[in-house]
Amino acid sequence: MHLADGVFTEPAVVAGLDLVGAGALGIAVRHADARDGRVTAFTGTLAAFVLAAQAINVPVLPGTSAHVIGATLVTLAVGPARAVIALTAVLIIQALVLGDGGITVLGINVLDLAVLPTLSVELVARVLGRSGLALRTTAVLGTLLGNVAGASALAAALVVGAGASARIAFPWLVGVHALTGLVEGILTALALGELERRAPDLLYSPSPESRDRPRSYRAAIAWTAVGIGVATALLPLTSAKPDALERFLAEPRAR
Amino acid sequence: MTGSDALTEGRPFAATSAARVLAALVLVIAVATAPLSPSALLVASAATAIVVLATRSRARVAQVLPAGLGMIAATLLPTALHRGLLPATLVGGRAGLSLTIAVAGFATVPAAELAPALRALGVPVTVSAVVASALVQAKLLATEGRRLSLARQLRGRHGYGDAATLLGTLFTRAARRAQRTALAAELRGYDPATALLRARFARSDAPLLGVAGLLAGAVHVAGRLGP
Repeated sequence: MHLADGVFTEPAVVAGLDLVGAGALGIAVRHADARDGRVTAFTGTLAAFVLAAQAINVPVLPGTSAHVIGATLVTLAVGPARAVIALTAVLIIQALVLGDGGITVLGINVLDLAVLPTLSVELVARVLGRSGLALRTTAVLGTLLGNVAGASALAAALVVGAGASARIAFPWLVGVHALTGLVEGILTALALGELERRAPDLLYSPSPESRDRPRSYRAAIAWTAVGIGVATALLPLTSAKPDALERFLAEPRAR
Repeated sequence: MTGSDALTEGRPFAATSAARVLAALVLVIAVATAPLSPSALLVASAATAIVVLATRSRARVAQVLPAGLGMIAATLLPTALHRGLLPATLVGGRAGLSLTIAVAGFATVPAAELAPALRALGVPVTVSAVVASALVQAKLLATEGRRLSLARQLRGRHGYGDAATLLGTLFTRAARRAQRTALAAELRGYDPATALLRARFARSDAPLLGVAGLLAGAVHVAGRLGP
């Protein structure tokens, strides 16, 4: 689910999470740039594929349908760095061209819909493997885990930054996305089976050197710390007085 | 004269694409972060009306808005259940105004000029080049996906299994096309880092950026000073 502009009442939370999302994107850009000169054309096509794939809705519950996110397919095809870039490009196009998702919360959407799903899939792929039955199991579990991780982060952000109830936000968002993730995971597993049969060369296999990125891990931790630091530093400023909404609701007769 | 300049010729607001994107961004950020007070929302509504009246793509705005508003309603459901309908309506109103400005504002920027405008605003070339590439190929892929889907439906195929086959076929075709394109581009010495144009701001952008800045400021001043 894409977050829209203006739904948050705590700007510090938005700023902090946006910074974390931007930092993660920066790391992905640096990795992708260093690895392959042809990354852009291929990643662009994959982004276009995800845009098109998100137009195909499948029924989840009576009266409800869902579309794929595409993170699993793209991650298993081009690796996590390019996947984050492709999904970020999709989010930018959706926000600027299709009115789907906000601009001030783009970093949060990148975090929830690109970074966390991609990292989840990569984590599962490293544990289980990337061929045959393991690939399909990775697709199902990785998509499920990615959707749950993204939805949990989204729910947490809404609780902290938009005054949503944790008792409602977590079951509602995580439940719906887990169900969607299961459907998408099964679809992706079937699609990957088709892909492995038709064009196995298109699937990503990590190079040995890509497994050892201590500098990037340090950068990721640093960016996360900066994001949390900004949010923590700004929170007292925004919460020292009741916000305009609270004042508006608390003093209806004063108007 | 750049392509962007040529497109702005004869328009009432003769601004470059980079300025249009920047103006829309400024307004969206201003409205999205506006205080949730009646006066701020009133001025934000006026700013939104001005942007909608200024765009020539109102049909597109009407086409895109309902889905976005539905998404906002779904996002705010936990807030509505927790804090009540009125706060959720105020937040939803602000979000709806932000969305309307974004849709109407960015509708004035041709798709082909979006990536150069993003470059001008400091978006990394890797990301803006991927945006450019994706925009070029998205329409083609959507058409191909619809064609494949229709062909399968006519053959009486449907269900999850067939959707997966469709996804796999579409992906394989897209990836092969990308490989061919990338190879051809490389053989011609194409480097996305240098080939993607960076849009430039012009003096004619000043009125648009000035109006956007004034409206953005008015939203926040009204929020601070008004009821």
